Amino acid sequence: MEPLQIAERLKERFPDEVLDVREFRGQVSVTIRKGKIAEIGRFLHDEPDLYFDYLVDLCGVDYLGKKDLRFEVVYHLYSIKHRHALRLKAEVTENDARIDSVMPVWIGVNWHERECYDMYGIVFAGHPDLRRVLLPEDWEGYPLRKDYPLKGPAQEWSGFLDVLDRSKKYKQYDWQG
Amino acid sequence: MMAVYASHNDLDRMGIIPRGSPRQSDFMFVAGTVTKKMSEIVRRVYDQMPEPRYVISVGSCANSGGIFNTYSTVQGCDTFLPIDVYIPGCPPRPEAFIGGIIKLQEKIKAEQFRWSRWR
Repeated sequence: MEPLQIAERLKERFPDEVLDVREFRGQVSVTIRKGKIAEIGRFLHDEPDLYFDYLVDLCGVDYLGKKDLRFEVVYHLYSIKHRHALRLKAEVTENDARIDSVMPVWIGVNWHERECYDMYGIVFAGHPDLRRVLLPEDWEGYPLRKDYPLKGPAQEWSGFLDVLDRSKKYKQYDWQG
Repeated sequence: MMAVYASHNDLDRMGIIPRGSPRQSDFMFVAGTVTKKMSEIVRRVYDQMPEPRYVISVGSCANSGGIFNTYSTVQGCDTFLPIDVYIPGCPPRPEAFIGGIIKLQEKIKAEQFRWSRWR
């Protein structure tokens, strides 16, 4: 099915949820409200002529200073059976940075949502194990937010300070020559 | 690192044989970017090695952090490890690699005490 037709189908089924449909070089992006993301996912996954059985990627975007709604969660969907693709963009506000998890629909999205939480601090409601994936568990802040300093906060991460302390302590046992 | 162990350059002929465990090793390579999260593990590997022990830092990232100066990267593994030889390059040529190892061998040969005067 052509991606614009899929977007039309989606608009018919969820007229209040679809905000915008855009095409760029044959790729169609559908901007949606975040409220019914799990339902929309279930619809796209289960409908036999859409059959989006593969969630290629899930990523977060920070539009600090460029848009009123600060965050966006982007879902790249693909149907292996029908060989068509669609991109969903769900807008998330800064004050209420949470969105429903799509784990019930695509189970493989588990770590993607954890990474998005790790880097942007967007909470995925209903996720069974929402912890940080890449950063240490006691890390403070969300590094891919635009207002996060590139070289990290002034206060160094305690785990690395421990390593530095330990290496300083062990230096006294080194042979000084 | 892969190329230097393969048949063209072949570190085995110089008696440098990779071991499966730090407890059987005489020296270690720190190859690649060291992140803050990983630094503790690198340090632990070093602490597990029997003395006398040596460390070679391989490539720009391990030497100085290289192009990565961000919240998560260590700016050179010499911040928490005593490094004997630095091999420059991004990535280092196999020749540079062998050069670094020969440098370490010279350094060990020049030792007059149990430990090197170089430190």
